[in-house]
Amino acid sequence: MPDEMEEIISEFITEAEESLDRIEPLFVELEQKGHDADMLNDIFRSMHTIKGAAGFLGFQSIVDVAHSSENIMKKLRDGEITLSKRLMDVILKAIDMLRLLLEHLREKDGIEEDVAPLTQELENVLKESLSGSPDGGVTVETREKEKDETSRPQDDNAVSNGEPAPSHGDETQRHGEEDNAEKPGEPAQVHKDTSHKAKEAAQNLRVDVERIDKVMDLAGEMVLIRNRLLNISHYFDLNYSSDTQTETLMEAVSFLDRVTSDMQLAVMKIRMQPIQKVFSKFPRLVRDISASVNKKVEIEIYGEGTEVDKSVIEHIGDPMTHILRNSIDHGIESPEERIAKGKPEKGKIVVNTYQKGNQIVIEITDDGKGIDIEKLKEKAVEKGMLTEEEASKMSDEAAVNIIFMPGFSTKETATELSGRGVGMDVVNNNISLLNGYVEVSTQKDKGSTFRICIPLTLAIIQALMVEVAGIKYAIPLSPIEETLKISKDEVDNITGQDVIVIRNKVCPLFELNGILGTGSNGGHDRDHKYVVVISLGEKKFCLAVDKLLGQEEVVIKTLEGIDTASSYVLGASITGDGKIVFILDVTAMSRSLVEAT
Amino acid sequence: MSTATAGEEILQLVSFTLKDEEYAVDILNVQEINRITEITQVPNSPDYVEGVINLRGKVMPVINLRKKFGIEEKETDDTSRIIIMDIQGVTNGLIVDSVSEVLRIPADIVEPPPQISSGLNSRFIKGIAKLDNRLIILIDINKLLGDGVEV
Repeated sequence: MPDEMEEIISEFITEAEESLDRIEPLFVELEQKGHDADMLNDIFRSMHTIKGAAGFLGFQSIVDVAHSSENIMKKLRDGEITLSKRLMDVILKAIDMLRLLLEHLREKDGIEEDVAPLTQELENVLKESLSGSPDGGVTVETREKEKDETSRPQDDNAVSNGEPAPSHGDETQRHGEEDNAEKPGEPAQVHKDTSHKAKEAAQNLRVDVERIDKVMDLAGEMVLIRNRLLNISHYFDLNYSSDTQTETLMEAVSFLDRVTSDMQLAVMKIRMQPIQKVFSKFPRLVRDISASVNKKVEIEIYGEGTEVDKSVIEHIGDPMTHILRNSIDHGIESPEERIAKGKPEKGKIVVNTYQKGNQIVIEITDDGKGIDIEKLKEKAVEKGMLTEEEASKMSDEAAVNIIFMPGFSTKETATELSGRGVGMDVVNNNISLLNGYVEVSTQKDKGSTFRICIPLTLAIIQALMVEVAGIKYAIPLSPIEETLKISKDEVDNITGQDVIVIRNKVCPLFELNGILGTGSNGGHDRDHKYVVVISLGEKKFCLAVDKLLGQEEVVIKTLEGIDTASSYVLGASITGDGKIVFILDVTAMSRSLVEAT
Repeated sequence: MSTATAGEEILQLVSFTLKDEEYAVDILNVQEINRITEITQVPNSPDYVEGVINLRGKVMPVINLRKKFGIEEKETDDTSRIIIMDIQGVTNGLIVDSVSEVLRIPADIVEPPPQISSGLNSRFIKGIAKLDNRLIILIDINKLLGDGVEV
């Protein structure tokens, strides 16, 4: 096959997959909302495009499936049939088939799928729906009708009862009469206001990720060299300040400094993509999972336009899927249980994403039964993960984190969805890989919130350089709230724990030297100490250091062969002069230090 | 140096010394041998982890073999070397007193470690090669890090 043809085909596959990714959540939304002409039209057009392109390229099975689906979409759009659960199931099946066919094309494995049964099913369902849906279809609420009225009201009665006869319940009747009065309008015009959306596609360039990564690497190296030059120019400034060339050097270096920062940001932005890419799969996922455990759950997604690094997109899907499964399986109660508790029958999961400083925060909140802390502790003791004494002393906030311990699962019976023993610890690990952390808060019968915080980018971080016992360390800047200089007598001791009072709030203080167990204990007796205040979610603690050296951009290098968990180190960086500086993992510190107190 | 004849399996080893003993590792695991460079201490690490070094932009841990084997400590000097090795996919440095030579020995002169040496370190030993009047201890490099935790 000639190269151009390959290229056209691969472009077709990418575009078709993107279309499917985009319309799949629309179906689920449609199922919840009932009728929405814009959405239906959007789906119809996407299907039509796939069909057209596949036809041109001669992929007959794709054409067949797309054609049958398109037929249904057309009838739906024109209000000739109504959306039923059965109809939806078959359409989703068709989408899965299209994906499978595209996958075969991509792999060039030459496998042919037999699409005849599926197209037959699609035809059958369409026929059934046309002759009046046996399962009643989706009833549309009055509210929605009124909204639609302004655009194309004649669709409504068709949607509400599956046939155009205006002879049903009072409500429909009323609308039906109004509709009839306006009937002359052609139903086909319904979609005219949405047609411009298709042309929205901006000027985009598809670039191989490898090329971008290469630029990213180079940018990282440049940051290192820039730091080195800054050091050297600083030296010249100190020692040869009378020389006019020194000034020129300083100027050039500071310009380079600015340009490097800008470039780094620009390269970083190339890799940024809206997190929607991951989220678009969730409505379908929630629909399928909740159906398989006989629960009713709806999902609301906010902030899907938030942009994150490509690597985050790649790694955040699995842990989030796991949390969602967990929420549906363990969190949300069965409809009966919910009604008995006076909650709405349908459970709700809200996914909210926003940027907070240098971090991306993803919150997954369910309105289920919450996590039973006592049961968690019991189970942990039973499994020998905790002793009775540890469990009874453990605060609720600390105890929630038991779910992240390896091999822990509380549900009595393991279901096929969650509770295979590989559970939330996997979530925790995956998030840690992204240099992020997970927090859980829970309230009995109100629900639980999982809060995932991850840095915007993974390769380069802003850090505060500190020194203890003569060794330099970098502390990531994002969790640092402030730095203070305190005198020795400002430190109090409460039951063996050093604390300081910051604006009337007591905050535990740890000697960084003591935590890291390196070097001599020199800083202890000084009159003054420098304190870095770390704030991670609800937790706050202080680290005492000997010196604050200033802020620097550091390139993270991963450490292999070192147990990073116990050493409180998340990576290392090489400074301008070739020395290694460890980047401290304050999240790990907070986990083991603050909970212990 | 070896007296191997054709058809026999030949082991290629890098030999080095710790205190008075001679040890050897498989040459295939050895990436390079360096002089001691600046070593940065790792917080809360086992004492045999001397720290990390910067090898041309790559950060890798360095293990002090004397400490790992429970041999009395000694300051590093001019003859001390860091052997950079690939241990189960991870690059590590091993600090040794000195590196002697590359040996080619027939596999059949290697004897299993004697049962009596039930000491802590015998599990790192793959075998002992008798060579003229020398005894060379072959180290099982994969066991060196694999279960180092309980030491």
